[in-house]
Amino acid sequence: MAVVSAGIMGVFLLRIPIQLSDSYTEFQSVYEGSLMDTLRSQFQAGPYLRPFRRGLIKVVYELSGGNYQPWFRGFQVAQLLVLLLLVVGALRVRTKAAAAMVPVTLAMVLGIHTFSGAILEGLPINHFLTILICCAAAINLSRARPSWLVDIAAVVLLVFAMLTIESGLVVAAVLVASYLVGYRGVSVWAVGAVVLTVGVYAYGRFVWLGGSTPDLGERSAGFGFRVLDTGELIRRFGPNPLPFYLYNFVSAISAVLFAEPRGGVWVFVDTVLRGRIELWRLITVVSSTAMTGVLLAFAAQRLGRWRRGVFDSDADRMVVIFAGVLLGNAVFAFAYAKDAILGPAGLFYALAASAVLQQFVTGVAGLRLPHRALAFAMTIVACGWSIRLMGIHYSLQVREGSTRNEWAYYEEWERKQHFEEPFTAMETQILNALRRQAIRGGSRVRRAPNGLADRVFDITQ
Amino acid sequence: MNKGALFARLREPAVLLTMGPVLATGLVALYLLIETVRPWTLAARPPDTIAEAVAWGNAAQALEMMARGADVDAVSHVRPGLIDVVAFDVTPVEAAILSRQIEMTALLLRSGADPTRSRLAVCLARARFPQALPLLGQPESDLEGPVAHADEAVAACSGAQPPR
Repeated sequence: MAVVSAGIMGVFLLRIPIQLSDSYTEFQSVYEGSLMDTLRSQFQAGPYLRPFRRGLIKVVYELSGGNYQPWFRGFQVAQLLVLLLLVVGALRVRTKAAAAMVPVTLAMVLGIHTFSGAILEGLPINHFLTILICCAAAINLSRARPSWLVDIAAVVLLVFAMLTIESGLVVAAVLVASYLVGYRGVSVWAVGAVVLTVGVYAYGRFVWLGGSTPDLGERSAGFGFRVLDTGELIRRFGPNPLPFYLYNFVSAISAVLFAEPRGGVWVFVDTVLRGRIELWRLITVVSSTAMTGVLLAFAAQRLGRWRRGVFDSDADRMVVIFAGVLLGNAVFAFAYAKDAILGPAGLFYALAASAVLQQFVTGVAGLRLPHRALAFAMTIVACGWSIRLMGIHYSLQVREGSTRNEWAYYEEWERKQHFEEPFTAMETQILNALRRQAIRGGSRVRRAPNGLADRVFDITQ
Repeated sequence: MNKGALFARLREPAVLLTMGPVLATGLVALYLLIETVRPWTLAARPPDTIAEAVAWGNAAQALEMMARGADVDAVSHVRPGLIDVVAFDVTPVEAAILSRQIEMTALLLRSGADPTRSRLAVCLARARFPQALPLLGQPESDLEGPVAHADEAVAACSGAQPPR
């Protein structure tokens, strides 16, 4: 099932050219020097510390030999396959009924709005997808047979993730939460090393390198019913940004649980208040809210046992781990509640939901609801998430067209960038190769204004 | 298995609860089948001509068609629903002007389109999109009155002389 899902999505992915914005400048940064030069240049003060992110780009760039699109998109497909294999591995399906939940789980993993950033963006290697793999690997390690190799792998995984992008620190939350709920694949010593590693990272980054966190002037951000530009953010929250950071934290949690707000903006609520509900928003919010309702009902039933430190099943453990990851992940959205940052929380939402659904289906959860009512609810949830899964494939088609168009209008893009120096011969060569590969492929855009798909699928991702 | 036993089996909780996920999986499979057999079922047919690609805003496909030898100045058909509710027979530059796309107009001219081969371009730009006039070698002017509907602009300009 994982291979089939990755294969189908891979077909859509391989058609998308390397994007111009966010990707071309990465090529400019890596074509010169060695891998060590690339890594070394990334250890610096500032709001970001991501040496392995660019290091990975350098490796694939060198391997591609100028054939950029197949290599970078192929790498993304390979990443997707690894992620889905790890997800299916974490499900531990043991019965036929539980096996029937696998497609719904994959629909949730791939269809949730927090995942779209990991698949729609090239960047040219998507670090959000890299972090999702690390998180899925972490939960598999936590549930593996204990050994010193697993312990070493856990610490190495954390180091790799946190030096790829800041939200990679969520891997630590996964490992610690897994230990606390009783998974013993990673030993207490390794969990201690994980905590120590996070401490060393914090010291190294903020004291030794003199780094900082993103400030209000970094980028525009959603607040309430609209997006505020940096000037307005500074005007409103400059003297005391704490309320804004708290808003983003709460928004991030709500975004994962209820698919609202999106990017900090309460768009669905706004459309409801205006009486202009869009079908795709309704599907998104209802499917997320219904699934969250199931999780909350399960949690309410088990809370007493959890307080006593009793975790009877994988469903109990996965729901508690999800809660830990959600809180940890939301912290990284303090400056800007971007959906893609919440990818790990979205992944564990799907894993927790799957574990709970498995319990419901196999009758272990001790339901007090009539089965027919529950079956009806399950159908609504499953169909909603399946529509979202289809929507992400449709969005990939739309992205293919928009990326090709981006390259068609390359001259306008270059003019707007205000490059201070002319391109070198190598940069021009890379640019021409990327542009040729983007235009040559032939766009298969199928987006029609006001078509059925535009009303049912979320194409804003 | 007889009919009664089948219904009894279908009423079992585990079977009832897995029906939804199975139905949802079927929905996804149906979507993928549609995408494979008839890709534009849920959307619309892809552009057939450069003018349609332009009207759609699909610059990459327009460039690709040109690279394959399509004449960038040829009059071609644009189906209803792309520029307006009616169909048009226009050149790509005219399609870009009718659909009020300044960057597309500039791209076509950069890519070799000859505005002097368009009988209607300047007139259409005056009626509907004066921002494009400088690109056509004409002095910029303001619209006199509201923006004309695409079909009205084409009807009014049909007798216009080619620009000098």
